[in-house]
This record gives sequence, C-alpha cells and structure tokens, in this order.
Amino acid sequence: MTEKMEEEVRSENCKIGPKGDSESSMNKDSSHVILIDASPKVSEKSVSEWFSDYCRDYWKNESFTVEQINVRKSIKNADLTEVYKRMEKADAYVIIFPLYFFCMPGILTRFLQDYVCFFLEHSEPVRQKKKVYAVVNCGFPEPENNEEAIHVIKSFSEKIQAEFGFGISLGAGPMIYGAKDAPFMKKVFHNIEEALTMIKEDILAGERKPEQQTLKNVYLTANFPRKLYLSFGSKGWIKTAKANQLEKGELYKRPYSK
Amino acid sequence: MKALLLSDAEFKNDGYNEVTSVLYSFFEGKNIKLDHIETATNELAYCTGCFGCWIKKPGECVMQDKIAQINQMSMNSDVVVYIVPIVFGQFSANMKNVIDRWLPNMLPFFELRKDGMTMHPPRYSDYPSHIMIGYAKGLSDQDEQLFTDINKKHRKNVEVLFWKDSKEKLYKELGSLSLSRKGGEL
Ligand SMILES: Cc1cc2nc3c(=O)[nH]c(=O)nc-3n(C[C@H](O)[C@H](O)[C@H](O)COP(=O)(O)O)c2cc1C
Repeated sequence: MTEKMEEEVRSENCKIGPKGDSESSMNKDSSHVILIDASPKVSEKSVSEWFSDYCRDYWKNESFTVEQINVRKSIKNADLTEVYKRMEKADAYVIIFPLYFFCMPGILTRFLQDYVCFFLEHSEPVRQKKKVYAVVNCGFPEPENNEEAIHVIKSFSEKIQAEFGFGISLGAGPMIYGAKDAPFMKKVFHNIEEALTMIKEDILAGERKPEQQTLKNVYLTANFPRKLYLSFGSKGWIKTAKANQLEKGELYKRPYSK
Repeated sequence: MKALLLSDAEFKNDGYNEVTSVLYSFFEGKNIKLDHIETATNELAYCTGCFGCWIKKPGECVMQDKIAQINQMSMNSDVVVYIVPIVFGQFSANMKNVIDRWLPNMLPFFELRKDGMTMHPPRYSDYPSHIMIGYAKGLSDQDEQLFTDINKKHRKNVEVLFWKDSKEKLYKELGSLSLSRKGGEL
C-alpha cells in the first residue's frame, strides 16, 4: 500500500530536480542528529525555536553531533535540495512544530511532502535506518490535542522507511516557554529532560529490535490552573488588540456576514 | 442554496477527476449552485501564525492573496466540500494552507467544552456544513483513521468521507449528509 502511495507522489508531485551527485556518506563515527524547527513565525521567537535551542544545549556534551534546521528559513533562502541532502546523511531527526488545526502547519507539510519526493528520487542502495522523534506544542492546555500530529510524524517516518521513536507533546506551549524560569515549571522541565534523555538513549542504542517495546509518547502541560490559563489568554488578546488601537468589541467583527 | 468545492491542483489523478465529477452532478441534481476553487502550489502563502486575523484586522487574514476570496465565498455558502489528497494521514500542503488560513473565522477567546477540551468560540452565528473527501492511491487504514480523527475528534460540524473507487458509494454517502448551515460550537 505504501508503495503505491509513493508511486503516486513520485509520478505526480516531485518538485525536486533530477538526482544530484551521489556523494559518499560522511565519514563519521558518531551519530548525527538534526533538530528541525518548523514554526512558521517570522518576527517573534517561537516556542519551537526555543525548544530546538534547548535540545541543542541539553545535548551539547553528548557523543553525537547536533545540527539545527529552521524550515521557514530553509524554504525561503536555501536550495532545498542541499538541505535535503544534509538530512539524508543524518541518523536521527527531531521534528519540532506547533499544532495547527490538530495536525502539522502548512509549511512543514510542504517541507516533508517534498522531502519524500526527494527521498524517492535519490534512493541509494544502502541506507542506514533513521530515527524520527516529534515534539509538538499547542496553545490549548490539554496535551492530548497533539496526539494525531504525533501520529502524522509516524506516518511520515514510514514513508521514508525510518524508525519512529516517540513524541513529546506540550500543552500550553506558550506558557511553558514564557514562564520557563518560574518555580511552578520545575516539574515540567524535569519531565522534559527525562524525555530528552530517553531520545538520547534511543539514538545511541541503534536500530530497535522487533521484540523491543515501542516507546510511549510523553504528554506534558504547564502545572497551572486551566481556567486561569484560559482567562489570561483571553485578556492577553484584548491587551494586544488595544496596543493595535482596537477596542475589545472590534475583535468580534464579522467581515464576511451578508 | 450554494455550495463551494475546494481542491488541490497538485494531486489531480483519476480519483480526483471521479470525485469532482460525482460532486458536479450531485449538486446539479439538487439544483444547488456550485463554485469550485482549485489551489495550485505557491498560490497561497502559508499561515505564519501572526494572529493578525484576531488582533489587527479581526476576521480577515492580513496577507493578501486568494484566501480573502476563499473565506468570503466559504462563509457565504451552505456547504463547503474539501477534496483532500491525504498525505501522512493529514491534509496535503496546499489544502493545509487553505485550512490554516480559516483561522480568521474563529474568535481568539477560549471555551472549555463538555468533553473537557478547550476550543475557540465561533465568530459567526452559523457556518456552512463542512465535508472533507479524502483520497490517495493505496490509502492505508492507519492514515484513513488518522484523517478521520484529525477532523472529527476535535471539531464539530465536519463530515469525513473517502474516495473508494465507487461513484455510487460516494453518491449515496453524500445523499445522507446535511447540506445546510449550522450554528453552535466549532
Ligand atoms: C493557524 C493556527 C492553528 C492553530 N491550531 C491550534 C490547534 O488546533 N490547537 C491548539 O491547541 N493550538 C493551535 N494553535 C496555536 C499554536 O499551536 C500555538 O500558538 C503554539 O504555541 C505556536 O508554537 P510556535 O511558537 O512554535 O509557532 C494554532 C495556531 C495557528 C496560527
């Protein structure tokens, strides 16, 4: 079934040019991990970008090398084929993104959809099996909202014959980032670090054997009263709108009403 | 009554052609006026999560392209049918841009629902019915379930159908759905 789907993508939708030079794979003895930050935000620091930096710093003394890719900048500036070639050489990806309508944002969908085309066009005889992890953050406080988005990354992994590890789901993402230094966040950060240690160990353990248990997703949220979080959120919108010279009532406009 | 079809020009295979032909004759048979907007690659910008549609120009995307026409027509239809190529169990890239940029049609505030989950309240008193028709060659059961969950677990007023190589089946399924506007939770 997957093959047919791949055939479909290959025949109709490949935007990536013909097979490039087949550079021999990097001579390296340590694993290489790519952190893919896929928030489309332009002018403000995103939760995803912050998390990517957090992983980089957390793993800075590990025996594997870590590289960061920002999807928006890659699409805007770089030759995507070059970015995809770098991805081909990695041993693991951690795909970090915001939840948009209960799945991936459009920008990441484009990036991965085209990567699958690249993958199919450039298949090399022997590929090492990559590992893929997902980190999804959402605005709502319930981390369960991210469950399907993690499954989407698992489905993507299957298309590139990679091994899906597990996902970290962050509810109330903007608060986890915004209040990261507050004492009530300590527990969440302890759990985040445990999850990052699990990723590290899984990467270092190499290919998972069939009899090994699949890893469970980790669901986390800010340890903060939910109603208060939502009411802060709503007040926040009214405050920002005021700064844009809009009164609260104007936020309810219905431009498309007949 | 008015219906709007939204589709992805990047994945026009046999399945796509069959689905559109079923929809054309289905709506013609019901005497419902039909508009069809296809979205090609790079035709719609992707949402950059700026929230300008909530706090700068409420109800409208601040980026100017075809989305204004799509949202205007969508909000003034009785039913909107999304013909969706399924990629990784979710929307294809072009269709995802259409979906993401629907955000202006909700309010920024939050409501806690009976099922214990948070959602945004509606901006309008009522909305068109949403019908998603997913298609992909060799769609796996897993991706099919995922597409259903993405659309139905968290949102109200969204129906999900799949193209299964049978025009009769699709006709019948469409016939069983409500095609009128609805109020209430999103
Ligand atoms: C178009 C759009 C759709 C969104 N959909 C959801 C959603 O379905 N559920 C949710 O909890 N948050 C949703 N959000 C909120 C983002 O997930 C949230 O703001 C996140 O923290 C942004 O992460 P970033 O800073 O890494 O971009 C949406 C935001 C946008 C702009």
